[in-house]
Amino acid sequence: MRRDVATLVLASALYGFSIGCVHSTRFGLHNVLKFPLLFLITGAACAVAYFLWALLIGGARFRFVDVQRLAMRLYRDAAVLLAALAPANWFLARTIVPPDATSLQDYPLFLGVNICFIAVAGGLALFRQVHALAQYHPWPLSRRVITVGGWLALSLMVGGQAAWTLRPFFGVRSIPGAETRFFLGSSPDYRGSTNFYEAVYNVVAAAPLAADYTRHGRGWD
Amino acid sequence: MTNQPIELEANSRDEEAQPFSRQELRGMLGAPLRMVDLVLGERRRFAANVAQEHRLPTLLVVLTVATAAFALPFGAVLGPQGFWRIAALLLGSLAICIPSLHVFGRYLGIGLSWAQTLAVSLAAAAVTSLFTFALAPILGFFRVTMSASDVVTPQNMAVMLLICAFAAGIGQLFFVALGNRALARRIGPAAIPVIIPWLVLYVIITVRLAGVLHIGS
Repeated sequence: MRRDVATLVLASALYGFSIGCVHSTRFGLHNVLKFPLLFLITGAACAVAYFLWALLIGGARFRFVDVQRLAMRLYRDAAVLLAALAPANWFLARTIVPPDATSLQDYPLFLGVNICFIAVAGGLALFRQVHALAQYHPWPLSRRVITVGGWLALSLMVGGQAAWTLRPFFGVRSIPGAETRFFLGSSPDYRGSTNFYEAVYNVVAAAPLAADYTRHGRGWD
Repeated sequence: MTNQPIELEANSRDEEAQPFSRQELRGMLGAPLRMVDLVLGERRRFAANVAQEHRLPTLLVVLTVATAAFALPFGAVLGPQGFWRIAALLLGSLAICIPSLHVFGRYLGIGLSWAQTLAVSLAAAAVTSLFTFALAPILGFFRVTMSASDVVTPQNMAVMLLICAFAAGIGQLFFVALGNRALARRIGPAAIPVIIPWLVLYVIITVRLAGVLHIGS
């Protein structure tokens, strides 16, 4: 388990650095701490729920530590896959056309590519753990999928808000790094959203950006 | 990225499930986390207790205590003064709805006694309660990190988490009532026609009671 956690921390720090570099090396270095923290906070908040979910669906006598190990491997695999994409991501981060006062330029594309990276890495890690569960317990496939899928849904629910609290991970380059707080917490973003779920809502029902949107999202307004 | 095998303690399908003894059940009152085994980990043994009516009074006491105790943290995170409200919601809605489940069940041919019906439904409530216990840290995290927002508030998230916990409890009701052969035989083919409409009533009453207790407002 310690080795899994160490691998998770190193791999996620590497990927975090690569995404932070879209803004600056300073943000990249912040992410070396913040990205592993994102995984660890999510894992800690969901630990008991992972365990009860596995018991509810599996009906087997799991030990608490076994469930944590399995869930941690899901995170570890995703982090290692993302770390493998870090060099490509870093290259993209340093070569996209940066946002300016009139447009976000290639920044949304970079965000979109990273959402794809995270989805692919998460999906593959999920698939692998569903397969791996079969070695540990003779469950039918449907139960394994529901168990691991439930862990993923819980992680997304908590991880989304954890990521919101720990942001910025990326950061629009037009925002000066020295003026941006390390954690933005519940400060409103450039659309005025104060939590992850509100931000998702604002993406779905997008309101037009304010003319001075680049002045917001530093954590001081 | 190697996956080392983890040895898990599995329930053997071949072994006859032994019901929980009185000593085991009383031991759970002293070590509450062992109640997780009773309601989730050892489902076949629990079903054996219910089917054989073995130590049902003690079982009912343990389940009631588990339901009340595990719901307290979620209630405390919602509001320290109203820490008792989730426990009251779980036990109150069950108390209101249990007569209908038993009477309609008997009328339509379900062969369970009052105590057996109560044990099965209390197991569902206990699982809901356990899940609120598991989701309490998540709600705490939301309360700490979410400031007041017009669109999504921590209260909204609390309601959503409560719905998840209730869904887990309802799942457990089906697992216990239909997943065990001995118990399913006693319940008979009327299970689904009774349980589904009863669940509709249970949900309506729970939502109303949540309003009365000012949960989520």
